[in-house]
Formats: sequence, structure tokens, C-alpha cells
Amino acid sequence: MNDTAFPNSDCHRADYRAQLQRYARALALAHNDQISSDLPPRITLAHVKMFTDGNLDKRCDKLLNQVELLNEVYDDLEERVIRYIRTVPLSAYDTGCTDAEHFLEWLLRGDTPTAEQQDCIVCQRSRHAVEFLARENRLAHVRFQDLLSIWDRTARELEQNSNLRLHLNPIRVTATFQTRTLLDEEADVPARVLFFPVGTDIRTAVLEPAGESLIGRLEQSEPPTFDELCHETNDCQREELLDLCHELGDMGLVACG
Amino acid sequence: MLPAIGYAVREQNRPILDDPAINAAEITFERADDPLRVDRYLHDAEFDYVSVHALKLSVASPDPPAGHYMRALKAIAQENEARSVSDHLGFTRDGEGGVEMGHFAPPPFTEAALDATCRNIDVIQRYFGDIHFYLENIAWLFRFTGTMDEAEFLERVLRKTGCGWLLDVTNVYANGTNHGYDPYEFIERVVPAADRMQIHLAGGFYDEQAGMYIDSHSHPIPEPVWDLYRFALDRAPGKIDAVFIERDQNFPDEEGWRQEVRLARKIAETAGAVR
Repeated sequence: MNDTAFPNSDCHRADYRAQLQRYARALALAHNDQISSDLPPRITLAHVKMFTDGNLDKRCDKLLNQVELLNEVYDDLEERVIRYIRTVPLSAYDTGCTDAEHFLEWLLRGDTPTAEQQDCIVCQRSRHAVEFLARENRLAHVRFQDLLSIWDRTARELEQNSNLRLHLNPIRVTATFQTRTLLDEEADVPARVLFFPVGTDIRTAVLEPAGESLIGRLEQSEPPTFDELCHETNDCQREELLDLCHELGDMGLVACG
Repeated sequence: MLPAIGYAVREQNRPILDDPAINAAEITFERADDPLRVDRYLHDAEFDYVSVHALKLSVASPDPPAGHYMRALKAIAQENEARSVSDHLGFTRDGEGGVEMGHFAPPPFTEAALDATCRNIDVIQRYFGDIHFYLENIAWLFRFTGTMDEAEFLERVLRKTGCGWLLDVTNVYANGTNHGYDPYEFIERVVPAADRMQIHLAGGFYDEQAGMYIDSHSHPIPEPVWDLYRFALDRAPGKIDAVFIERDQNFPDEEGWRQEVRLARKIAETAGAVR
């Protein structure tokens, strides 16, 4: 089939585009009366309302589930979500967390959040950013997770096997928390928090300076062997470095292969 | 030949997917498309027939589906060695860069909608190549004014594009009940236009207040749907590649899962014997 099968297509394509645009925009926000003249006999606005109510309910439930963390810092979260979905239509190709991300942007455009609210929003958005990065760098994510799945074995060989190279988890997002709302009671704030995937989970870590420094070193060049790493790292002993690598590997931040 | 038979995969039915009555699986794309996934969605399970069912190709939109959506869909299909992909006869958004409604609505059954739908299916089929595309008839709560009925629209799409028909028997039953047409006649009219078919079976409930049958995938498959299934098997010998049962709420116990798929197989075997 090709376009020549449709005579006068430019004209009716434009009309159809305008027609669907009107329908979709009305139905996305449940402005059902805007399509009342387009319904045939025996189909009423009550039928349309069943459709739009069902869609809005599903969207509301999904959003509340996705931003559950914010329940701790917003007493009126559900009301805000309802206001949002009645005002802002879902974007085309909404997948995964895009609606939740748009909701958080919308929330930030409203009242200035408290520091606690801000931390929860930052946490939620960092998780979304991890998902986004993993989608954009799927091959690197899968390769690293493969290496991580054999970490228990390769960790034992790290020091002796000169073929093994230390790989950094390629999916990392760093955020700063201003309060202890989502941290241990004795944590120093502001705190730099690292978000990264382990399998299909998203984990977080607040690293000590030595850990941050090692991550920084691994970010800068091709994956090194342990010997190369020791050679280039002057600020800790070989044994300390090995312990640090094991610690980061156990967390899911580095792996060998 | 018997169609391959199985379930739309849900976490709740994974434990029984090795039942001898099951040799097909349907993956819902939006469930499988986890950006953090590492393993294939079907894990180590092997089936004779796998299909990936999408929700947002929006074949009746004025624009064809975006490349990123089709690429992600193809990736899931390839990872799981799917033989087909499917989606619904409807639109979920207006066009590229526009808004999403959250669920598919039927297109206005007009020539313009027919042209747009066929153009989009043509793009989809060219993109997916050997992975066959099947178009599902939807259960609609409302429709727009049009110039033809749903059966004619579907028939013409199938003939013009050569795509497969995913006959959702429960949707035909629901529309017949809700909008006063004969579901047997609908199937009888559309079957000749399809070169290849799949079947969906599910159970919903009758909402007394609304006076409508709701295709909620929440109940056992009702007897009238089993009857229509028998009828479809009888009317489309050799055309039906796969049968999938869908269940999304009020999940049955293990025995319930097994009984329903065994019944689907038994009916198909009987229909085959009759031929």
C-alpha cells in the first residue's frame, strides 16, 4: 500500500488531524461536553463519562503510587494529584515515570517547597533519572549487571588475576539532600547521595571521601586492573584499596570482568 | 492445525505457565518495558508461540507511531523471540507531540480514519517485517458519528493492509450486549477479510447501574463468550494462530488458572475434530 491509494489525501488528512486533536484534547481532560455534537443517536455523554472517569482514576492511582514518597511531606498529596490531572493532560507516549516527572515539575512551579519537601522531590526525580539513563544506555546497563552477577566470584580473584578490570556502574545519578528526612539521624547534611541500579532495584549510598575519590578515578579512564589502580592511587595502601573495592562491589557500584 | 494456546503473562500466572495445556504466551509490552530489566521477560520459559501486545501504537492517530516506541516494542519482541505484535483498533493520542488519553477510544468510522489507520499499519508492518502485526477489535463504551459500522471498518482495514485480526471475543460480546448488535454476525462478517487471526478471551461483569457489560478481565470467561469462541473456531479453520486468555483482577487460584486454559484447549481440540 502507498500514499497514492488515497486521492485528495492532503485535505482530508488535515481535517482528520484537526478532528482527532479536538477529540483527544477534550477526552484527555474529561471536557466531554466539547464532543457532544459528535456522538451518534443512543450514545450519550454518560457513556463518554464512563470512559474519561476510568482513565482519570487509573492515572490518579498510578501517579499516587509513583510518588508515594511524597506522602510523608505533603498532607494533601491526593488533592494535588487530582488538581494536576484535571489541568495537565498526559503527554503522548507517556511511558514509565514521565507523568510523575511532569507532576513533580508542576508541583515545583506552585508553592515553594519546604526543605523536607524539596528533598523528597529530589529523591523521586533522581530515581526517575536513573530509569531514564538506563533506558538511554541499555547495553551498558545490561553488560554491567552481567558482571555484577558474578561479583561474588570475581571479587575473590581481583588481586591475583591481572586480566580482571574494574568496571564502574554506568548508571549513576548524584543528588544533594539538605535535610535528614530521608537519611540516618546522625548523617551530615547537606549530603551527596548516589542513586544507582542493582538489577531492577534502585539503591542509594552516601560515600565516604575515599569511596568518592575511587569513583572519581574510575570515571576518568578505561576500566583499570587492580594493579594499575594501585599504581595510580597514592592516597591509600593496597590492602585498604582492596577493601574499598570489595565494599563498592558489594554495594553494586563496581564489578569485575 | 490447533492454535497455540496460553495466557497473557501476569506475575500471578507465572507459576502455572508450564502446564501441558499451555504452549503460547502473550507479553503486555507496557509491563515488560522496564528500563532496568536485565533478563528477558519470559525468563527461561519456552513457548511455541509468543506475541507482544502493545497499548500505544494508536493506529488510528493521524501520525504513525514514533520510532522510539516501535524500537522499544521490537526489542522486547526480539528478546523474547516473539512471532507477532498486536495492538488495538483505536487511538490513544491525537498526534506527534500531542496529548494522550490514557486508553484507546474507537476512531470515527469514516474514510479519513480508515486511510490514516491503513497508512499507520503499513508503517508498522514494514518496520516489524517478519514479526506479524495483528489488530484487535476493542470494546467501546461510546463511539463517534461515522459513515460505516465497526465491522465494515475493520473488514476494510484487514483487506487493505493484510494484517492479522486479533479477535477479542469478549469485546465483540460486550459491544453486542451494550450496543445491540449480533456478535455472531460481526464475527461472520469479518473472518473472511482476515488471512490470519489470534483470539483473546476474558471475563467481565454486567454493571447494572450503567446497563452495560464491562470488559474488566476480572471474572471467569462467561458461557456466551465460550459459545462465541466455539463459533469463531468453527468459522475460521486453519486461520487462528494463537489463543490468549487475559485476566487482570480478582485472580483465580492455581486450579482456576489451569481449568480455564485447559477448557480453551479442549474446545479448540473439539472444534478441530469436527473439521
